[in-house]
Amino acid sequence: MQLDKKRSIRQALALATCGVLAHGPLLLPVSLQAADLSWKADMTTLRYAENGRVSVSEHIASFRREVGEDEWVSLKFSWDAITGASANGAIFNPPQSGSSQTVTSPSGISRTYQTGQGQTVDPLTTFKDTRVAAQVSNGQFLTPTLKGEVVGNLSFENDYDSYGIGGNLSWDILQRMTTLTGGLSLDLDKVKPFDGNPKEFESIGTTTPIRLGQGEKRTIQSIIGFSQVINRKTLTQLNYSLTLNDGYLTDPYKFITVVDPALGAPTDYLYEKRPTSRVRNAIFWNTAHHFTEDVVHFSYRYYWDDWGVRSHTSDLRYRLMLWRGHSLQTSFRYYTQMAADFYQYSLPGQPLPSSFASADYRLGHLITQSTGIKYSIHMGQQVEFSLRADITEQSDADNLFPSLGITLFQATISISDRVDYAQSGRAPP
Amino acid sequence: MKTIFILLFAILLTGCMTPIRPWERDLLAQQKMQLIPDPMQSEVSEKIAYSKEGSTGGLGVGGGGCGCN
Amino acid sequence: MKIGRFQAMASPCEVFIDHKDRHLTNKLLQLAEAEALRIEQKFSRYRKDNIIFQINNANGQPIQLDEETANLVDFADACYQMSDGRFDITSGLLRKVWHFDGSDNLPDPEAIKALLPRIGWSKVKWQRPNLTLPAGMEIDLGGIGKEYAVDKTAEILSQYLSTGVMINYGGDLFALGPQINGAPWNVGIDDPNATGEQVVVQISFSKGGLATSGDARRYLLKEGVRYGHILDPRTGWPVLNPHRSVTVAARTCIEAGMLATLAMMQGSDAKLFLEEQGVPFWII
Repeated sequence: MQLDKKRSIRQALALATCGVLAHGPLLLPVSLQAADLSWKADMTTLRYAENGRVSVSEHIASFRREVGEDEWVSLKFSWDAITGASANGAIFNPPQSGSSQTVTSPSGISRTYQTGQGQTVDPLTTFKDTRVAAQVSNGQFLTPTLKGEVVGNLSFENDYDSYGIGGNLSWDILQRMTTLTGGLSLDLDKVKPFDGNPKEFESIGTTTPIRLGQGEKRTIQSIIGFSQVINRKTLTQLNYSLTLNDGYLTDPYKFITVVDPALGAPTDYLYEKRPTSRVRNAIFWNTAHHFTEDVVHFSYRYYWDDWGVRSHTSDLRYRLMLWRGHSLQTSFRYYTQMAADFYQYSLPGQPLPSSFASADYRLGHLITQSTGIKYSIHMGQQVEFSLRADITEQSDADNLFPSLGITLFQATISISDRVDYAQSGRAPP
Repeated sequence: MKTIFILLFAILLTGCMTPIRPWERDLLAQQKMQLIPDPMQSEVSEKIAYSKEGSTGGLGVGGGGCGCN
Repeated sequence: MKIGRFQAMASPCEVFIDHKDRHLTNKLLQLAEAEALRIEQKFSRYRKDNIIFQINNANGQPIQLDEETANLVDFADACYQMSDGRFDITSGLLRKVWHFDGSDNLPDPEAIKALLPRIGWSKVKWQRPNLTLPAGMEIDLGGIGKEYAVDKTAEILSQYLSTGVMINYGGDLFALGPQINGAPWNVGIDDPNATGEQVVVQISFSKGGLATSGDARRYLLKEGVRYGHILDPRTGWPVLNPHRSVTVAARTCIEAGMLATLAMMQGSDAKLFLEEQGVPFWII
């Protein structure tokens, strides 16, 4: 062969090969048939019980399916039922002498208390409520590295409705070592207790109660963040989220007690009052690390808002891989919260109409510690079953009200049509 | 706050150094190595925390509201 | 890692699939075997029920080829052109006189001469989709069949997986990507002096085709001259003193195989030829 022809043989060959292998083994477009579209189903049921207080049982079913190349739809339904009672912020002391009272302890047998003015108040408000909720979402890969999703939410209970939409984007950059994420959602909630919302700071014992009908709460949530691959075994994530609440943010079931400073005894019980807007920030850091077999997850969140609430949340989970397909995960969560500016255990007298006050322990000075274990079994490559138990103790850092013990049991089953690595329609790159 | 930014920088720096090859992503692709490995548990825990505490956010948006008491 | 093994095209065939989904792996191994057997059935010169038999027994009549066969004939035609006639699918007849058994039994030159009129792609009328062979001529796709089967199998498997697949049909290989833990595939080149018993060179590759042209024990040795099994269809005689083994890596297996064959035909110029082409190669 002549010299010049030699040089072009490789090219001529490549060209000739194109005729024989229509697209070439690496360039063949993938057209999916129905049988190739993967799906995933998750179901969970749980029983949550507070010591002597609220119990909730909840069931959630979620189903997700690929609907085309790089596109998926998912549907989720939840149903929960709550019964029991919650502390409503009313406090009372055993009276020094005199007046007619009954047993007076928050966790006592008879829970009513009579004030001198003839009011009766139950320090616990009983709830019996059912909630149904649905979520639908559609996501797809807009480009091979950009994933987008839109989500819609509906939730209905006896005294509360919620409507929401949202979307998020996830962008892989720098050779997929870094992923930038951003999300935005809007929610509209209707707060509608049975007889309408009470007028704030009105005495609960008043004979002519003023009811304000439905309240509306609007929320905008936004989040930006990035996740970074550190090495083959480590992944970390940092997010900042900003949430804006506007509208009726008061809890219609919570009271605050007016305590006479001289006598030390409660003199009145008022409905609480909170501001009508709230700006909430959080910075969240999360890391996952793979040992030889086991995996550890650690996260920390710092939260602060314009009501004065600040909190630190630390969460550690260690998943111990046992024999074939079985694993045991232990988790610890430690939460500390600094009280809202207007959080008060009680009021010394009638409050100014322009001020805010709440005795809701959830805005108080809290410490919550949780310990949990979860046992998981992989049955085949496609089914995972897990049982989880969690014990939490929520206590008041100022020791003004008693601790609350919570137990949680949760069973979950996940079934997927094929081994789906990262919950996306795309094989690992 | 400052420590967080320093942390951020450190993370970015270490990440930018040696990109890992596609075939080295085997561990990262596993379900148990995802940042949220168990969405059902995570959703339930988040909702409980939202109901019993005064904080929110950090994980994601658009989970739906509830009048949790 | 699962390895499917079967026999096809008179060679031991292996398909390596490194994938966690066992269900999918088994399905893909079945697809691979089915494709290899399909190609064998369709293009084997030993069968009487395929297009090759029709072509070779047409007695001068034109045969209309299907898409796939026409594509292969086009490819063979292009290779004939670019090799100046050294690669010729009508040269199979020479196997009647040449028996490469390591002995010194060279065929009768007259016998070779008698076959030459029945060899030569230029004598064939190829007007797609009709192929007309003059009576007495025959075509043999054995020179590209195995490599083609490897690439077609890879094409099918690439619809499901993008990595972790390696195909080896009798020494013609293709890898879709490395193993899932990142390690490339390790291939050993057979020692031409001890076929099947020794590995002379270790190659690591993770993507593309790899083919070896080698004589194994298919040569004749007389008076110190080694006659390789690659025959020059223009003369009917083999390449003299060729390299024992030439391995080439290319984008696809069929390209790797053709480059290796063309290199062998260069005799002692094989190394120069492959350097010119700019492909990775190993000559033993």
